[in-house]
Amino acid sequence: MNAILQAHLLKRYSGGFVLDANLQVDSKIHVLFGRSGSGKTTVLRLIAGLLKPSSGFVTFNQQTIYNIKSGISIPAYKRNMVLMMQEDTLFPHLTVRDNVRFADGNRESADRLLEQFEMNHLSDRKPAELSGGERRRVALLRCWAAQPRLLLLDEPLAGLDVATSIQFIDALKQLQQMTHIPILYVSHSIPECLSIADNVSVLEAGRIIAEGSPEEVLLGGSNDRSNSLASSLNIWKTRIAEQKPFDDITEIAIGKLTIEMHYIEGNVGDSIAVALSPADITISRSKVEGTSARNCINATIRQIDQQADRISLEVEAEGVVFRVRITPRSLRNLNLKPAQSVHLMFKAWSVKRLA
Amino acid sequence: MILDALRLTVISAFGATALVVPLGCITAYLLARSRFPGRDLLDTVLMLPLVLPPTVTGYYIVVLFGKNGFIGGMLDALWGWTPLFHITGAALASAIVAFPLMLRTARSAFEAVPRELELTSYTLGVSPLRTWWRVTLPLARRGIFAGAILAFARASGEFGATLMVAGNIKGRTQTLPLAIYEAFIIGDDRTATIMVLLLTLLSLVVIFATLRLGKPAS
Repeated sequence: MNAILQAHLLKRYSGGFVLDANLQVDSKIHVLFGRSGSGKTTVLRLIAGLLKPSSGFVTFNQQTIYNIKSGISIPAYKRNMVLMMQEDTLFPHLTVRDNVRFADGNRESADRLLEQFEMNHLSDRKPAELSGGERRRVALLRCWAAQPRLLLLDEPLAGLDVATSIQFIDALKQLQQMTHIPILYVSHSIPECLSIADNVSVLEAGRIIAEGSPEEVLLGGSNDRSNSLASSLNIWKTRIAEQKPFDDITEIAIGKLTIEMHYIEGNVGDSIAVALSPADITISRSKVEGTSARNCINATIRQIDQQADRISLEVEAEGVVFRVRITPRSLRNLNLKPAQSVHLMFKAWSVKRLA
Repeated sequence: MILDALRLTVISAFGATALVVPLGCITAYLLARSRFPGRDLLDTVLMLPLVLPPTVTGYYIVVLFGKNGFIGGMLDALWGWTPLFHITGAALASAIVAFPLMLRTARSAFEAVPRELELTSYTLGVSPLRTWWRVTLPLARRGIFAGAILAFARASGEFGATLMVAGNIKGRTQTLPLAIYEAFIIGDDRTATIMVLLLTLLSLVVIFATLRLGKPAS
C-alpha cells in the first residue's frame, strides 16, 4: 500500500485507557470509524500535533512529522494538517470572510471560495448570526483556504439535520475533487461512512480492528476481524427479493430467510445493505400467536455473552446469525441456555436500510 | 495644591496602569494556560498585595528598591538613581498594589476563551504567539479593559505603599489621597472636600465602566 500518512500512535491515560492505533491513510476520503469513547478524536489530535503521543511515529509522504525515538516533533502550526473539531470553533470576533482568510489573509481567494459555495451573502456576518449548517460549511471553507496537505474532520455532521448534512457532504466532495487533498474523517455512523468513504479503519477500544473498503469492513467481507463489527450490529448486504408497495412491505432475502421490511424504493434484485439493531429483536421461548411483528423466526441459541450488564446472544436461524441484546432479568426469567430453541420477533420497521 | 496633586495622581496612576496591563496580561495567560513547577507559588505571591496591608507592601518595595536593596542597588550602580522619593516610586508602589486586580480579571477573561479556538488556530498554521495576538487577546479584551480600569482606580487611590516608597512631598510625590490626608490634618476642610469629591467621582465612573464592560456584548 502506498500510504500518504502512516502513523503508529500510542497514548496511555491515567484511567487505564490505552490508545494503540496503527493507521495508514492513502485514499481520498479515509473514514476512521468507531463508537464514542473508542479514541477517534484522540487520534485526530495526535496527528494534528495538539496532543503528544506517549510513543510512536507519524510520517507524511515519507517525511517524519513525529517520532519519539529520534525526538522529532513538528509543532502543530507547522504541520499543515488542519483539524476541524466537533466543537464550533469559528472565531466569534471575526466575520465570515475574516474567518475564511484567517490562515493566509488572502481576501480575494476567501471571497472566491465563499462565492463558489453560494455563501458570499454571509461574508460580513459574525458567526453568531449563522445557522448551525452554515457555520459548519464556513468552518470547512476556512480549513480549505489554509491549503492543508491533510484535512482532519471530527464528526462534521454531528448535530446537523439531513438536508444540511447533504449540503455539507456535497461541499466536501466538491472541494475534494477540486484539490485532491486527502481527508481523514471521523464518524460513528454507518450510513455516513458508506456514503462518503473510499476506505475505512475501524477503531474499537483504542485499537484498529479492521481496515479496508467500506463494504468489506462494515458489511462483512472475507477478513475475519472485520466480521466482528458486521455481526455485532446485525448488518447484511442483500438484494430486494420482492416489492409489495400496497402492503408497504419490501421483502429481502438473507441466506435462506425471507425478511420483511418497511417498503423502500428500488427494483427486485437491487443490491442493498440493511441493519437491525440487536435491541430491536424480541426473544420468546414459545411461538407467539397474533403479533403485529412481521418477522417471526424459529432459531437456536448458539452463544450467550455476558459483559457486566450487557448481555448479547448469538442466535442462528437457517445459517443466518442474529445478535440479540436482552436485559439480565430477561435472561434469568427465560432461563436461556445455549442450544435451546427460541423464537425471534422483530417489526418490519426495525429493519433499516443503510445504502 | 489640588491641581498639583491631581497631576501627580494622573501621572502615577497612568504609569502604574501602563506597567500593570502588559505584565498582567502575560502573567495571567501563563497562569491560565500552562502548568509549570512553582505555578501555585507564583500565583500566591502575585496575589499577596491584595491582602497585605499597603504599608507592608511598601516596606518590601523600599527594601527591594532602596540603595542597598537588590534591584535598587543595581539601578543606583547603573544610573545613580532609585525610584524612592520620586513619582516613579509612587507609580511603582501603586502598580504592585494594583497588580492582583489586573491579574485576576485578565486571568478569568483568558480562562473564558475556549482552548479549542486556540488549538484550531494552531492547526490553521498560525503560531502560538500570533494566535495569542489574533484570537486570545481580542476575545479577552473586555476582561482586560475591565482589569485595566480597576487597576487604574486602585492606583489612583493608593495611599499606604505610596507614602512608604515615595513619601509625601508636595508638588513632587504628593498624590490626591496624600493631599487629602494633609489637608484634613491641618484643618483645610474646603480643599479636602473638593479632593474627596474628585476621587469619589473618579471611582463612580470606574465602577460604572467596569459594570458595563462586564456585560456580554450585544
